[in-house]
Amino acid sequence: MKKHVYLKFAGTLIFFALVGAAIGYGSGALLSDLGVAKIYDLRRWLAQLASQAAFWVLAADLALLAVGFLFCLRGKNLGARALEKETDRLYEKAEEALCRAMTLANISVVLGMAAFGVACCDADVLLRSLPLFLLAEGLGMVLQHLTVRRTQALNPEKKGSVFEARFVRQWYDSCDEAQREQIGWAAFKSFRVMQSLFAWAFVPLALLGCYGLVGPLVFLVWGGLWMVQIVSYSVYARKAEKGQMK
Amino acid sequence: MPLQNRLKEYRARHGLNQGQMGQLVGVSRQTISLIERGDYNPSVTLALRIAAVFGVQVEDIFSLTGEEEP
Repeated sequence: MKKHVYLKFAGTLIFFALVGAAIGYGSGALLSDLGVAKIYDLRRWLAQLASQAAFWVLAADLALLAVGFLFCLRGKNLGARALEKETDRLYEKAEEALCRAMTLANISVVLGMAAFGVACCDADVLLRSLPLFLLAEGLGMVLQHLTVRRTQALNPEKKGSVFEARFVRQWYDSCDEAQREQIGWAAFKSFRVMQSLFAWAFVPLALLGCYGLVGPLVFLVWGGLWMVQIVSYSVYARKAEKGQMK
Repeated sequence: MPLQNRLKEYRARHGLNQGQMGQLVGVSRQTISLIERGDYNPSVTLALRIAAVFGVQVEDIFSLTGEEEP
């Protein structure tokens, strides 16, 4: 390997060490002025703020779902015209609308669960948020189901139902070589994004942890998730080398 | 290396739409569309199946960029 690669790596390490030291010194000076009691007050205030916001995030989640249903309806209408006229452009537009509907449905499901998880930290907010959460998750699944059905109407070879546990496997098995290549490319891109995110998330979390604004459990969850991603990737990569891609 | 193809031309000549073409070679309409746009290079198996549908050689439909077409 060329020397400049090592020099660049060392330079990057030193630069970020200096930046980290500066941020740590600055935040330490700021928080030491506040005192330990005020740090815990700040922590409690942030937790209450997050819990209160969770209810409104769930409400916004329903608005997101409404947009998703509109895209699903657009995909249905375009799909019907595509099947009638057999025009490539109409198929592409229908599939694009259905893709947006599915993306919004997936975002909504995860956002709803995250917001409800935060709401669980406050009993009052939890009780108010529960009906919204159940409604959002239920509608999210309905939107996913309708989007899959519309996609299958355009592409009859596609198999699977979102109400089955093996849906992702069934869908993948019904994909042809080009679609599997697309899935592989998207999955690899997603893996790279998560790798960067896990690494970069450590810095702010560590700073927050130093001042008691996040607890040890956060690091266990962060580390556990990253570990699962890395180990599962290694296991499946090894299987692929042995020709065991099933 | 980029691949040129005349799949759309052959398909039109035989009066097949993308869905019908896909059914004949065992892939989806989307894949036929991707191949025609040059966004996907088919496997050897798929290229052979496509050529067999039209009763021609693979090289009649697919060629590397810069090579002379028959």
